[in-house]
Amino acid sequence: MKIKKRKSKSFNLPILLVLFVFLFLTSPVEAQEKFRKSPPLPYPLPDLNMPAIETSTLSNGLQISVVPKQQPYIDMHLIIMTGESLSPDHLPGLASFTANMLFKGAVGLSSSQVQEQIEFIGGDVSVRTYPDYSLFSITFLKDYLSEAVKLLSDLLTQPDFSKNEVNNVKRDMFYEIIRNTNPEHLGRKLLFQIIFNNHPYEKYVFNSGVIKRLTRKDLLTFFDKFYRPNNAKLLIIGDISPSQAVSITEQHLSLWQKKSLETYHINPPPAITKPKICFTDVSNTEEAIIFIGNILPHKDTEDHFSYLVFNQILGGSHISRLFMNLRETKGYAYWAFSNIELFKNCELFYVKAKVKTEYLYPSIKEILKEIRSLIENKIPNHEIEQAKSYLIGHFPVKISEHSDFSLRISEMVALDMKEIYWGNYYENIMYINSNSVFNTFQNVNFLNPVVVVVGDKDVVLDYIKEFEEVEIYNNEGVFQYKLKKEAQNNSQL
Amino acid sequence: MNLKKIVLFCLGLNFVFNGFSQVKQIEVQEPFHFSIYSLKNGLTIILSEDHTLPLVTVACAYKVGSAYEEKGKTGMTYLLENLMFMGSRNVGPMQHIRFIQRIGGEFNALTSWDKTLFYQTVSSNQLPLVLWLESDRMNSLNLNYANVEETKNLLMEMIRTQKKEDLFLKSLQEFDRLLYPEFPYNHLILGNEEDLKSITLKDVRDFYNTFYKPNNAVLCITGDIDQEKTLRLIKRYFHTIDPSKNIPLAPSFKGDFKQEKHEKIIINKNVSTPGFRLGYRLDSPYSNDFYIMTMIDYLLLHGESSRLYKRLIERNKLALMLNGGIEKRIDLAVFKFFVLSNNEATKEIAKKSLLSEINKLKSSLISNRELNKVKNIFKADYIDNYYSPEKRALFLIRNYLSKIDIRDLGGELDKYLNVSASEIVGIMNRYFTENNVLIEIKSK
Repeated sequence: MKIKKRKSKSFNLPILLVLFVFLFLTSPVEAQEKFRKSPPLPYPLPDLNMPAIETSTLSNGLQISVVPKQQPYIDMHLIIMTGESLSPDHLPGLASFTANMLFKGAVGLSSSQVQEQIEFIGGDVSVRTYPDYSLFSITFLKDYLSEAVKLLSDLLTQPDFSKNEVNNVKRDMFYEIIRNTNPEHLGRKLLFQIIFNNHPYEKYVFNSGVIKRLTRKDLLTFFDKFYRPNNAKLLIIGDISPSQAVSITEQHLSLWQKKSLETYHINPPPAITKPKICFTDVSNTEEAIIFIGNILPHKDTEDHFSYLVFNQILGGSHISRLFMNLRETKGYAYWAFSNIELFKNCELFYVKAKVKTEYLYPSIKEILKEIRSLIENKIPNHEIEQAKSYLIGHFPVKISEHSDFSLRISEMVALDMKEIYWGNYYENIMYINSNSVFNTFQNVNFLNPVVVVVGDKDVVLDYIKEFEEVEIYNNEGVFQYKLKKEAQNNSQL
Repeated sequence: MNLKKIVLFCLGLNFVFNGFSQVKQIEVQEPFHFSIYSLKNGLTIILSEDHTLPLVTVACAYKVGSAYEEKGKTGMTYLLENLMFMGSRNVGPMQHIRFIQRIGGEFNALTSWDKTLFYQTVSSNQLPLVLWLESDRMNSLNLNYANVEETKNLLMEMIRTQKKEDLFLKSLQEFDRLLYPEFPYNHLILGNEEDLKSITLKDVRDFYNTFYKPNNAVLCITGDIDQEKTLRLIKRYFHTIDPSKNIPLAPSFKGDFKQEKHEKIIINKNVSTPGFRLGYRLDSPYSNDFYIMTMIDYLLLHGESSRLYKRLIERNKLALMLNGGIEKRIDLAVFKFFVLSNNEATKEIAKKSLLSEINKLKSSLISNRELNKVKNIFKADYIDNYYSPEKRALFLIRNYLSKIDIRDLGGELDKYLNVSASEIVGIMNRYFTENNVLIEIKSK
């Protein structure tokens, strides 16, 4: 009995242990509320009520657009409707040079006095030159609109352009070009140059060599011709009524004399139809930068919103196909995105990616494959809806800062875009479906884009010799030579 | 103001919403309207409505930063910041980010000396999703050996990259060590590689269970919200989360923060440009002197018409780079200058010129015009700090976690704008003395 008992005891212990372990392992984890288990549904989509843009014209032809908005500062944008595309062919960069000189003084007012006046009103200035227009943005405390417009009037009607400031601005522009060896910057520049080859937009990118040729005389001629109220728009966003804004601007800017202007017509640039691979060297860079782009025709509203949805699916964000494929799945890239830039006559669509050098060739192939797949096949509905949901959710987020908000309106005013790009954004996105994207891209020549690669030539050239022909450029965009594939390789782009 | 102060203040107020007896309120009108509530588990809630655009920012801050770290465990806070994205009970690793990205939102996180902050801005109809995500990681962060080790390795790589790429890191570390005399204030937020290596899963779990709990957190929601509806949602997702049982006191400086003279030369063979760092210890960032000191910061360093920009860069072209200003670390403040120059000779002239500008401010009153200019630049910056839902949420959290009485926030701007020219002279003489910290950076 005793033995039996002993046996029984020794037999039961492991069973209990196993049972204990089993129960421990299979017992439910700590209970939680049901609502924690899955993500909640969103509320209904809120309305997007964008403020109206009220426009009037002064007697000298200056168009004033006012966007009343309660905020403690005013965002004011002067748009000169001439950009780099109207610089003389032998002097690309003249439009940028002229724009950069505007805040550098007036008669009786030095450059540093201008700066002091801007800072006195709590202000900040930025100057941008695009192919189609030049943009001068000033943000300042709302009580100082009169002072800001008065200063603008002094600069526009009594420009000084002292020799000293001319030299300073030329020196700054020169060093900015030669010191900026950022591979992304150089890649975008080269892409622009190749895509807009022989089109007036090509002048948007210029090299340091041209700076020496820019003279004060050129500047005065350009200024006199284009810095005229009948070639300008003034956009004022802030806590001010349109009538107040017009009254203040009329008081100061009516002195600005209009002048008859020649009409310049710029034809839309054609899309690239022959594929091209270009390379520029930036020594000691460990990764390669890729730009792949082409021109999209700027036609009507629906096409533009189809482009946006297409872009979102391809590379608009971290959840788009390019990022997921090249970075998350294949591990080729650090990042890969796509983007659309708007111009008066076209839209520029491009992909940009930073990739590990050894994966340069397959990365380019993958990007081209993704583009082709999106154009040749109807995009599944769920992907279209996902992209639309992103775009609708992202729109208010990307204009939540007043500076982004006002820049978007300035682009719309400068490019004469209809207000449909503003107030009806949600509706226009919702209208897009798989068929509309498919149909839009059937009429677009997009399958032969320009490919630009930036990297260290000692490393990168080895990885792109698979391509039939590669054009080599220096950092200033000057063509150097062509690298041709050896006869035995037959890979094609 | 701390949580206790808020609760005490609220006892005298009526409860606001029926059915939410645990919610109490402070209402502030200036510089914009906002309300503060607290849940029974200690979670502080700040809400501010702004219906300009249909979007909302949700920011959640925990009162723990690098100053709370023990010796030998530096980098712990930043490690936790990263682990907060590695999944929780109902949200997979990195899914928090994916959820926000899918709806077109933006997110970010930051670790400072006194807080760790997570924030996201999304379309306002997606508020429930963000609260679900934020509550899940506060309630049940997934901490295991694999994700802790993976994140540690990632951060150690970041530290190595920072050491390699930031050519002036060594001089900065030395500068901070001399300016801030105590360990909590003077170690790098990213931490030390060896310390990070030694952090165990248990350390991380203890740290999370101590600090990442509702009674050590502030949840701030700004933008297109309905307060009552939002409070209901917050209650649903947060009120059953257990509070921390033992939150250590916030670090505070006990010693004498008077300036001592220190001079040091650092040879940096990796840089071609010589430079110097010059630093002064100030009074507490919550003293009246701080408002005056801020105006001095703007006078010297803000804008192209500032005194040092004009003297060192525009007029004499002595500096290739010039930056600095007041720096606050919890209850301490210092004034820093960092100048890089073309060569040793221009560096010496730059240093003398900088000191000469300081001396000028000690001996002569600035003009009304210049003082008003400085105040307008400051005012524009100050207002800009709260003029989008995201900036407003960060502004509210920053002020709530400071020692400023949040109920007086509306009067803060005026304290800066009331600074007089004579007060500037007084403060210059009090703090900008010979007893400063100077680090010379030589290229050979």
